Amino acid sequence: MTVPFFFQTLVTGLSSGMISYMMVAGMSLIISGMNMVNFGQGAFFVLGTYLTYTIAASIGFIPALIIAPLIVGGLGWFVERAVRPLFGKNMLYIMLLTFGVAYIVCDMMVLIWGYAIRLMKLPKFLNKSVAIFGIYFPTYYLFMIAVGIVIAVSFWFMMNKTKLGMMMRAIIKDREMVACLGINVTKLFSIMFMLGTGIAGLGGVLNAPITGMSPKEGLSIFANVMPILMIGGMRNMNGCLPAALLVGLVNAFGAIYFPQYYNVIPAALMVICMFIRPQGIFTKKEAA
Amino acid sequence: MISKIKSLSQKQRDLLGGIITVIVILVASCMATDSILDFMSRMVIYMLFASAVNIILGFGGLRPLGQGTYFGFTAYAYLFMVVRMHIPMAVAIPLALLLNLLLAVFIGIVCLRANDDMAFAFMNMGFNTLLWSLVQKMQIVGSDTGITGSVRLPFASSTKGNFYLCFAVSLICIVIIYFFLKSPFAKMLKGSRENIERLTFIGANTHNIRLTAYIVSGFFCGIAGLLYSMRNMGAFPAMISTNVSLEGLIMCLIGGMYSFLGPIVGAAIVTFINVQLPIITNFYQAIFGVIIVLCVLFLRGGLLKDKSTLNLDNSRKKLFSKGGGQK
Amino acid sequence: MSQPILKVENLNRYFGALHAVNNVSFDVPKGQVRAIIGPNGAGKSTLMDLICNRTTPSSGKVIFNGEDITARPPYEIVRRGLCKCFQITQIFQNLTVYENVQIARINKNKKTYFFRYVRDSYLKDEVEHFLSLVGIQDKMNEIAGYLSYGDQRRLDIAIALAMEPQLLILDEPAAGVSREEAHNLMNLIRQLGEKQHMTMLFIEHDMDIVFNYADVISVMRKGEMIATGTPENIKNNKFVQEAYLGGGSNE
Repeated sequence: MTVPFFFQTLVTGLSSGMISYMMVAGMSLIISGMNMVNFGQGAFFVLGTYLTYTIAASIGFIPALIIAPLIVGGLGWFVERAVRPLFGKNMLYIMLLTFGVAYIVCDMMVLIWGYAIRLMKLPKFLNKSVAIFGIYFPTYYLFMIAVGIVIAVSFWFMMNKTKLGMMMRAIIKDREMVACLGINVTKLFSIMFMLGTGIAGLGGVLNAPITGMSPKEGLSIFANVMPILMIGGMRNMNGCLPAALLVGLVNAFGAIYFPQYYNVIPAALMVICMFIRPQGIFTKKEAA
Repeated sequence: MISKIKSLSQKQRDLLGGIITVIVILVASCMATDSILDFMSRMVIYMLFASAVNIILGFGGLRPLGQGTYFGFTAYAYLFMVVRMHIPMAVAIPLALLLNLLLAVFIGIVCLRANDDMAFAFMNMGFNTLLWSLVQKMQIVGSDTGITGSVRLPFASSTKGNFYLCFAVSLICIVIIYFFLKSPFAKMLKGSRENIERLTFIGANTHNIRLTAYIVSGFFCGIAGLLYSMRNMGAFPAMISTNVSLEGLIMCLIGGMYSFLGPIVGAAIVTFINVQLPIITNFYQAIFGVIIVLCVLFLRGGLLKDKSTLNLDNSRKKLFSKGGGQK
Repeated sequence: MSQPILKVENLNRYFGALHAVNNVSFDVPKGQVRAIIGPNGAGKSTLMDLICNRTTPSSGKVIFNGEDITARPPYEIVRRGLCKCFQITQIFQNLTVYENVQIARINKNKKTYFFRYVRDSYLKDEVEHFLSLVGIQDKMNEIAGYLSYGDQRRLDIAIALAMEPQLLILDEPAAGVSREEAHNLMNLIRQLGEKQHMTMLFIEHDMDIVFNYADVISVMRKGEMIATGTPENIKNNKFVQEAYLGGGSNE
């Protein structure tokens, strides 16, 4: 493997990791804060992709970056309302409900956009290559990494430096206490859910120009992303980014050496990591 | 009449329900055409599958999102042995079941290590996905097309014969599961569902209890898978997919997680919907999704309820009517 | 006979920087009723948790009946005869009262066969015996979660007794029930203790209960055990008075 190729693969891995990160960050937020699993996350991701196809064709790619996540987040609001009566009951009900939602959303997409796998051309200004230290990288991949970093940093900033973030962190630690403090937990949950799904939608937007997607993939995507959750530690939001990047990198390099078994890699990685450290590789050990 | 039914104990209700179901199925099978018999064998196999899933779902209180693994794995193992390795069926059947058991032990141990309910659910699903993607890529198991071959038992090779085989095996297995759920072990399992810490402080090794339940469940799921492969005369990636696991869960959910006959009823309903819906519309997935959503929102706990759960609901209603109690 | 049933040596537990249990050592002879008292945050509950390994000790030893049980899995400790009842009543909510005790007896008998079909009334005599010991046998078929709190407590104790423990640890048995009910419970437990030669260790804030039912009292403060003695000694102990500074719960 030549040095330039190594770095190019590195960038490929990091950028695909960034997209996964966005899907997983949303899930982690929802799991940690609301103690529920949103199985429909994959469907929201694909929805973001499809919205981008349409919006980019009519208005442009950059507006799609903003509009699509908003629409997806809006849909998330509806879903959260549907889930509300189930809070506190057996988590299984919520899992199945979000699965049902995923089915519905996937078929809605088929209804609107048809079965065919769609593709999209990269927007012109991003369809170039940039030379860094003499190695050529596709601009779009660097763009994805940049967006990912921006999102990660904004997320961190919001969670740790804003009042909203403080309330969210409080809920994650102790839901009942927060309710006792007079904070509107319901509204906060809505916001968390919308944020979680919106980020997934953004990931879908970024994903649109580089991968062809069929609406039916909404469910299988979730399964591909789940290993990242396990590796990062399910309730550990800080673990999402390193885990996603790790899996992205392993995927990218693995695709070169084992092209056939490419999509087995995330799941296999998860099994190995679970053996070594069941709580997740990037979780901090509990204060002993 | 109604009051007489109400006064029956849970055991008698189960027995009555079971006998009625068996009679209905047998009678229907006599008058049925081949295609209906095909449908009925599928239904009966799924009844077994759902009952097996409910061992850890309803009674164990865990969330098994990946029991389809055993369903498909046994099918593949059996087909592979008979078709590719030319092992005689009489040997392949117990061997496939044994391999399935070992797989259940392995996955069970790994999944229960984290002692976290959600981690268990996800790990389960993770293994399911892993095997599913593996199977789709590996040439020796036929990648996307799977393995096909004539694998029905010689005395049950016709549609009708195969149906009776599936029915007989499922019936025996379901009866065994019934007795299993009445054993002292199952009582401890129910305890682990209710309050696992208390069970630990009664001196029970909760990890082993859950593991055992999981293995038993996986074993019976494997038997269902084996029967299915005989019915279809092949093993296909769809059999080991997460969809199968999910359907199992939904059957238990719709039929009733906390009763014994619940999953059986749920299996009948879901199989029926699965077969009929695609005929009516192309968007059967969405409609299925809607059904799931409605069931979860309104049919909490499923259609059929155990007598003790009914008592629970009645007590709750009494509490409310007296003006006390919360939730 | 001279060997204490429970011997705790230099038990320590840190939670980060907090030294919750600080070098505690004590003995409990067989058959004694021992109370552990102390202001809030003294480390009493943590100490009990360390003994039955609900929390792992940072260092130290716990010896039960001459056997080192430090950091053994909790279920093994319970099997050896050490039972703990929690401050918050822990029962199997959605099962019947009968089933609650039945599970305990099944485990005691170690007869957890898988395919052995048993009637629902399995172990009826034993279960009814323990239910009647605490006085709730007439509520046998009710769902545990819907009993009154006092009855739930009795059920909790019935479950613990069904394990026939040699040492019973109770965390605030009087909490959450009326004064009368608390006295009833303590009387009951004390009588049973004498009949079955059971040793008892209990944490309590209600001084009335403590002084009425304990043979020996140990006082904890800030993670350390500062005094042990008969109720008379403890009442007059300067350190204890200082620790409580004008009284604990009820004077």
